[in-house]
Amino acid sequence: MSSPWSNNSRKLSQPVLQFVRGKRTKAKGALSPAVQRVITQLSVMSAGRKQPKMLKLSREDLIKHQTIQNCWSMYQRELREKRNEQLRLQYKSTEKAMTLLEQLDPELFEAANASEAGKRFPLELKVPTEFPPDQVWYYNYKPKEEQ
Amino acid sequence: MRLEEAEVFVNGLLQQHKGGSMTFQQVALRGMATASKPRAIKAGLILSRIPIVTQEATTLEKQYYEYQSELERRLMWTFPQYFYFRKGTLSEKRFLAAQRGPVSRQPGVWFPKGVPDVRHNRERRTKQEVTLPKSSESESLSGANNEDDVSRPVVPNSRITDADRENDTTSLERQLSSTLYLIVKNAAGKWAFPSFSVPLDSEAKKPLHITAEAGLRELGGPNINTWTVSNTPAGVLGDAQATEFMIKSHIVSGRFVLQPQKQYDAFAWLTKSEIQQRVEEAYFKELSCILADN
Amino acid sequence: MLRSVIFKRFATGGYHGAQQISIPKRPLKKIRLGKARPAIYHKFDVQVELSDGSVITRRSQFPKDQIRLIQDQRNNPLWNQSRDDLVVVDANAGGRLDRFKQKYDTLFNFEAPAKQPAADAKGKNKVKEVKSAPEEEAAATPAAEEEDAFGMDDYMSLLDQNAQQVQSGGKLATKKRDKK
Repeated sequence: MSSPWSNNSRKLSQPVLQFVRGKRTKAKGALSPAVQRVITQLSVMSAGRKQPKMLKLSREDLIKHQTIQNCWSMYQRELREKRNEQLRLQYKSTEKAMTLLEQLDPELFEAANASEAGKRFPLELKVPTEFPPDQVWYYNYKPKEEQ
Repeated sequence: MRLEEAEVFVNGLLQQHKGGSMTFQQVALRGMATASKPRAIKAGLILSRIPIVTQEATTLEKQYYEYQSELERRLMWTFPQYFYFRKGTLSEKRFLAAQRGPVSRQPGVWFPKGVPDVRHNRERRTKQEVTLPKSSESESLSGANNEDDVSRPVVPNSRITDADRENDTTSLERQLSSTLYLIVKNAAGKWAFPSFSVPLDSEAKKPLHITAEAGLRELGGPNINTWTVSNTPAGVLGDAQATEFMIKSHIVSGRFVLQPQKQYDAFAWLTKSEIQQRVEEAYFKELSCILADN
Repeated sequence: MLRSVIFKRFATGGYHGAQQISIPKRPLKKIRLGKARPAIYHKFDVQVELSDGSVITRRSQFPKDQIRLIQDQRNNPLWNQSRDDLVVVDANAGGRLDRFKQKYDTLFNFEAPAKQPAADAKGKNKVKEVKSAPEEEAAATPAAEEEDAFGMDDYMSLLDQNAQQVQSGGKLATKKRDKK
């Protein structure tokens, strides 16, 4: 033990902390991994315990529910048809305007028919919210100087 | 029409022989001017302010949404309280104190509303009602309703504004839940969408949407930010002397201030139904499909 | 106690001594036909106040009935280009990234270190001054170019007003039938 290496070996015996990426350094709680896995699986299985009871509708209730759903789908269909009809009318209106414009003034027609690729919806138009903001409208707009 | 066209063509040919160099366009224009009556082209502007708050739900919609949400509440799983509140903390105590626990089953007791079926502190036969503890109690006790305090309670603003109460039709802040359109009153006392005549000489001629935008700036001042939907007109109104092509646009920000001039003397921001009351019936009928219902 | 529960449920796993627990890979649970139920988690109605004071109602699993946002689309300059009165709030101020930036901002800044050595060189030896100045400039320009080439500004320009979608001429994946 009095060899010249003894000094060296003592150095090596010092605890060396080596960090390994991805290695778990702290046990999760006090449980061993196997028990932890059992608990996880049990908690997965016990979803049924968190669920409420199934809905059991009587025949009358079922008919009521179906009536409500039918009513809703009819209402939606009416809205959809109304919207489609309006879209159709709008298209016809535009078409009428364009045919007339072509007859009256071909130059203006060309300008009105020009491609608008790259045109974007403005970011500043916001989706309606349930309650209005503190400042409803921004009035102090100043046009920016174009360089 | 055929005859006129032929006339125009002959006219053009003659002039070409006379003058020498003339494009076909010019010929056609001149032909138009001489042969048929001069038809003025106007660019109308439908300037709208999009809704700021959502529409009021109809009775049917309200009832259906309530029914659906109650169904969903009934079918929701038990609230995992252990996940959000750690055991033994103050927040857990506060949460538990706010709960009204379910009635548990007792042997030999008659339950008029059915035998309780309690799991995880929840009555499984009905929806779970979780009452959240008011986090703002301490602040309301202190009385300081500080505007800068981030944790102050949320108090929504009213959906009905001052402009609604005063019925101020020139305000952009009225009728927040519906689309407003700008209409103006001309000297004759007729209400209509603003329209601007398009110069037809080839130098000053500009596309319809540019004419409409420039006209709006002239009419309502430069401090207005709009977004024109398209170059293409959305509709047309025609009579013998003038044809008006309607361009759609949205106001984004800024203020419309009617500049003093002879053409128009009043303006208003109105919804579709209000417009119907002000403008002529035929005029409205032509344009009603372009306007949004709400 | 737990162990007894486990072994009642998983009789298939053998008993291999006191410390060892072996269970099947997945719990055996049969879902009979028509008995499958979707997971409908408990949700609360939350009133969310946006940064400009408007309020919307959303559903959330988190047990809180009111939430206030301090930084969102409503006070972001990108979404409000015409407004000058915005008070820009940085919700992450004082966060980890911000502290990192405060600490190391000078290290990763291309401009500042390029100038400081030049100033040092001037102070130390005036003889080399004439030579060093152009050298520094030459060194600084490629750095700036590099920054342009790899900077995030290129991606930000996609959000710009003038950015245009590729209309045609791009490489489009097309389905081709195999020749048989």
